[in-house]
Amino acid sequence: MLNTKKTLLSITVGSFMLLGMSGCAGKNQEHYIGKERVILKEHKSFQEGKFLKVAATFENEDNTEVEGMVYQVEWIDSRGIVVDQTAWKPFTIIGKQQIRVVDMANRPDVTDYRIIISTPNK
Amino acid sequence: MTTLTKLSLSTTLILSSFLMSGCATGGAGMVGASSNVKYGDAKAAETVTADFGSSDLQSTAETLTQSLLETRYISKAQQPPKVRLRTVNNLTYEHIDTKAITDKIRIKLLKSGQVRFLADTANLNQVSAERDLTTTATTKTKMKAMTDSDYIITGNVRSIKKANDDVKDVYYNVSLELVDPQSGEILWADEKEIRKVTSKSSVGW
Repeated sequence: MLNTKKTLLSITVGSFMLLGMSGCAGKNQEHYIGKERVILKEHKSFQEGKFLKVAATFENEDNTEVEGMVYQVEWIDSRGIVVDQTAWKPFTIIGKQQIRVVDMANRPDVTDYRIIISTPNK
Repeated sequence: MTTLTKLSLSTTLILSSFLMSGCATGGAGMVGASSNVKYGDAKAAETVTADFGSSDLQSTAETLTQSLLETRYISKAQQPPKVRLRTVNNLTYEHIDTKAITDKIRIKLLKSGQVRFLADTANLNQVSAERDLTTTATTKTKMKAMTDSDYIITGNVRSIKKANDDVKDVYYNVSLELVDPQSGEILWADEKEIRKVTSKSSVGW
C-alpha cells in the first residue's frame, strides 16, 4: 500500500516536472494594453544554446479591419526580476492575418518571459 | 513688535516663498514639470517621420545580435572569440550614424558574455599611447595580443526610396558580415530589412 502511494506520488511529481520543462505558455506570460483587437494566438519558449528563445503568433481576428500594434518581450531571470526587454516592435496586420515572430534573449541568466501587446486607441 | 511676532512673520514669509517656488517648478525631484517637455519610453516605436530612427536602430541591433549569437563561430567557440568592429558604410542618401548600430550590437554581445571585443582601429592609437605610459617596454607579443582579432565585423546600410503624390515608401537594408581577417573568408552574414510607408491619406495608424 505504501509502495503504491509512493509510486503515485512520484508519477504526479514527474508529470508536473514534465509540464514545467515542456515550456507551456502560461496566461501570466501575456499582457494586453488597450483593447484586445490583436490577440496572441500562441507562444512558446525553448533553449537555444545558452539563451532563451520565444516564438509567438499574433492574429487579427477581424475580417476587414486593419490593425496597428506594437509588442515587447520582457526577459525575466530566475528571481522573477525583469533584467532586459526588447524594443517595442510595430506591426500592421490586415484582417485574418497571422504574424509569427521569434525573439531571443541576449543574456544567459534569462529563464522566463512576458509578452506585452499594445494596440492604439481608435 | 515683539520678538515672537517678528519670528512668526519671518517664518511665514520664508514658508510662503518656498511654497510659491514649489508651484512654479513642479513637485519634489522635478524641475519645469509644467513645461511641454515629457520623458517617454526610450524603447517606444517611433513613427514621427520615415527616416531611419531610434526604433530602427534598436530592432536592427536586436535582430543582428540574435543572429550573430546563433552562428557556430560564436556559440560553439571553445572560448569567447576576439572581435573588432570595422566601418559599416552608409550607402543611403540620408545621414545615419552607423557606429550607433555597431556600438549597440557590441553592448548586447558583451552582455551575452559570448564575445570579447578589441578597441576600434580609430581608438587603437589612444590605447597604444596609454600602454606606452604604463609599460616601460612593449614587447611584440603584447602588441600582437592587442592587434590580433579572431574576427572582424563590417557591413553596409542601403536604402531605396520611392514616392508619388500620395505615398512615400522607404526600404532600408542593414547587412553585416563576420570575416576571418587571416583568410578573408566571410563566415556569417545577415541582414535586417525595414519598410516604412508614409501616406498622406488617413489610412493606417
